[in-house]
Amino acid sequence: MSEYFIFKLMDENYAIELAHVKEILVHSQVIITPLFTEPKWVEGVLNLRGEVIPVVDLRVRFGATKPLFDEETVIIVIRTEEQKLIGIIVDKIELIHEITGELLTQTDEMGIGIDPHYIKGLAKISSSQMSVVLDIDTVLNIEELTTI
Amino acid sequence: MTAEILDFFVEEANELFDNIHSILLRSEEMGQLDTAELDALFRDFHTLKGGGGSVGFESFSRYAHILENFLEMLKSRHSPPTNEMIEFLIESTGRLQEIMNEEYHHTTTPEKSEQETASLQKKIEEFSTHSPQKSDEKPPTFQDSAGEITDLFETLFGLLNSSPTSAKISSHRLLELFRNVHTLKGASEFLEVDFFPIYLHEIETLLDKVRLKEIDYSEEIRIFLIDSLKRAQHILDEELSQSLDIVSFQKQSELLHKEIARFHRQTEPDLDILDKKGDPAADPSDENATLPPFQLFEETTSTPERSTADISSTPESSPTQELSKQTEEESIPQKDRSLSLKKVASSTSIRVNLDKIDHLMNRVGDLVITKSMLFEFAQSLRSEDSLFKNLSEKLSTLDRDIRELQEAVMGVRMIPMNTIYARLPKMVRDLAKRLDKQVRFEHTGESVEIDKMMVEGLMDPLTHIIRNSLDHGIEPPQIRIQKGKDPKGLLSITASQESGNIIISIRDDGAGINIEKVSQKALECGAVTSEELSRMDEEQKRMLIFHPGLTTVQSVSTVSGRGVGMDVVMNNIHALGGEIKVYSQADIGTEFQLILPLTLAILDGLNVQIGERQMILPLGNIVESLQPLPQMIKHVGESDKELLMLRSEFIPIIRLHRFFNIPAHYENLHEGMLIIVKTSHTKVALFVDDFLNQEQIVVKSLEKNYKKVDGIGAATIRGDGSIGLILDVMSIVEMYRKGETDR
Repeated sequence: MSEYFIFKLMDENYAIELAHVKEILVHSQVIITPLFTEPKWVEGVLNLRGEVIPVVDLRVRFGATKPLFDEETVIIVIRTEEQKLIGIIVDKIELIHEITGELLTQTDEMGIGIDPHYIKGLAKISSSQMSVVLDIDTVLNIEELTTI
Repeated sequence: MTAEILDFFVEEANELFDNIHSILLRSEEMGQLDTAELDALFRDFHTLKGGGGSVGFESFSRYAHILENFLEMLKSRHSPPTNEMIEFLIESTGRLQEIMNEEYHHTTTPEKSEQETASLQKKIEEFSTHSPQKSDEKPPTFQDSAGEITDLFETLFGLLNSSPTSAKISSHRLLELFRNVHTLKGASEFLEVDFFPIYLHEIETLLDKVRLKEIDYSEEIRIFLIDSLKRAQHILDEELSQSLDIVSFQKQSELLHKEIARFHRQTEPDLDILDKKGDPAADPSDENATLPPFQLFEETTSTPERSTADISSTPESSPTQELSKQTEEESIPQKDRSLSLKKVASSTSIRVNLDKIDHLMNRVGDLVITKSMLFEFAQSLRSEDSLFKNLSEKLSTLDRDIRELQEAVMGVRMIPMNTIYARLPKMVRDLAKRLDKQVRFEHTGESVEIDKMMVEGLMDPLTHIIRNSLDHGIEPPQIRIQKGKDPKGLLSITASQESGNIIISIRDDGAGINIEKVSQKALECGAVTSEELSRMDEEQKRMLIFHPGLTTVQSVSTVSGRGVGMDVVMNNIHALGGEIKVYSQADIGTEFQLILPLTLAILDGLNVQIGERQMILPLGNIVESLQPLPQMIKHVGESDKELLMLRSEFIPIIRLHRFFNIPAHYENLHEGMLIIVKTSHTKVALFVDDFLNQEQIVVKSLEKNYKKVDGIGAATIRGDGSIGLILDVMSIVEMYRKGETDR
């Protein structure tokens, strides 16, 4: 029973624990320097008050080929369990939501095209909406992130 | 126990170990250990023991305790310690340090530690059976004891203040309190004070009672303990400045004593709770419980001659004066204290976490960026003349201030070479011993400052070079005698600061580098072709020793000779942005010169244009740059491998835009620029579209929040707030080579 941060990736709801979120940056207002030799979902690095932090496009990480960038595209800065600051690009911020009770386990019929070990489960966030609860520490584990 | 406290202890302990080693090694060389040194060692072991105990390193603490006892014994001997004993101390200290690391990594077993302490104890007993006792101890220097006492007080207050305000205290913390008070009492013995230990003894008694649950710990007790310790501090201060008023002391001591008795009764209601007079003597059972302090107290009052005699030694306070003075028991006389404890022990430095300094650096970096934005803004005001002029003036003042601030913050990261030197003598000694060589180790330039971040990266190469010098350089004593040299070789390290560089040279007076042998080896292992070799001058041939897989010693020894060391040295020094030079002369000796930048945090870089992108090339890597003529470019066979022919030298060309997969402005080499850079073994020419300005940049790690990136060494923040990437020439060359062999 804790607070979750809900955001959209390719029209799908995703949730991460609020405690992981350090801050939100608007994508169109920051300069990202590409690294060239890294996997394609590593968008580059940006300057967060003197810290060099990598930015990962979660949409590309989860299979999108031509993600859209608009005014709603944001970068959520996450502090991972490896104590690294990493920015993730998402389509849109939805809301902060308290998730109570057990998470539902994912079933094959739901057909989420994401490696199951990146997912903690599913949660109901309203009478009509569900959200995928991400295991963000695993998603942003540096080794996971850089092996193709 | 938080990891932070643990790390802090280990760091501090390592400093103490450095200190202990340096004393012991010096004394081993001189063949003697004087009283002052013994005292210093004793204190260090004592601190180690205490510190180890407080972080729960029990085996460590026990081991240190035995060594402390051994030193105690040495101090009371008539004759100075023998070489055998010093040797024994060196070995055991080394072992103690290992034990600490084992405890840190939780690899100790109780059985093993028991066995070890037992054998240590046995060895010491062997020594002690033939060591006569003597009684005339010389106290350690006042200053050191004072320092220890101040530390102990701080620890105590820390323990009391950090304990939760509720009526609970863990038995562990209580024990720690008790132990610290006890140590404090012991430490004060060196100061030759009489009253302070008496007062402390009362406090110790109280703690003991709390520990034995005769008195319940409460908030009241906590505050009482803090007050009493503060009073104890005053008493010590007064006693040291010889301004202690005995009557006042007696009153305070009596008060303390009564309070303890009162607490005792509070806890045990079956004792006469109605006795409000608080006279301990009125209650027989209570009297029994508080007997030791009471006795002591009586002893003090019954021997005023002795105490006042001490005080009368100063002219300003005669016994009668002292005794007739009726000061309020709580007040402290506002006299000038000739010797205040705090003054003596106050230290001029503090420990700061590197992260904090980095944070400070970042803030200053931000300031620099904001400043350049302001400058840009000012430029846009050019049309309004007077305003622009006014603003520019103020901005240049700001610029100067920020620059100075930046330098000051950088200065905080600098530490003296001493911290590096401290670890070396022991290593030299151990190595020389193993190699059966005699060597004198000298070092100068202790106060030359070096970036703390560089120290870690420097230790390995230094160790390798020293090993190399001892193993391959300095000859065995017999051979040295044959050559007419002193059988004892000389190994010296000097550090100096010259024109923005730190220069560290390691010199030995050994056999020198045998160029013939090195060349031969290099040929055998295929490091060079005979044609290449014939073109090399002596210096280039000497540099072959840094080639991976090259060693000239016939047998692989445990010290060096596997041919990995010197290769590592070169790589590490390059990683630090430094360079190595080697000078050598047969039978005169060899000198390795390490030329290092002053700091890792700032670097001179050249902006290069690669397509639409700009990247930064460290200036230190650059040999020269040129726009090639078409006929200078040669192709190797069918492959797309290109070479630059420059003054009869063939230099491989790496097109940076291909490496990074960036569309380039120019495809033809003669339209762009070639920048020739060197790494440890080779030169390569990097092809870029253009090169731009040169600037000093603040280096930021990519690994802190990400990982190592191919071809990119680090990052920096540009004037517009974006990240600039610093090229890693070594990694580019390596990747390029790998790509070549894969093909």
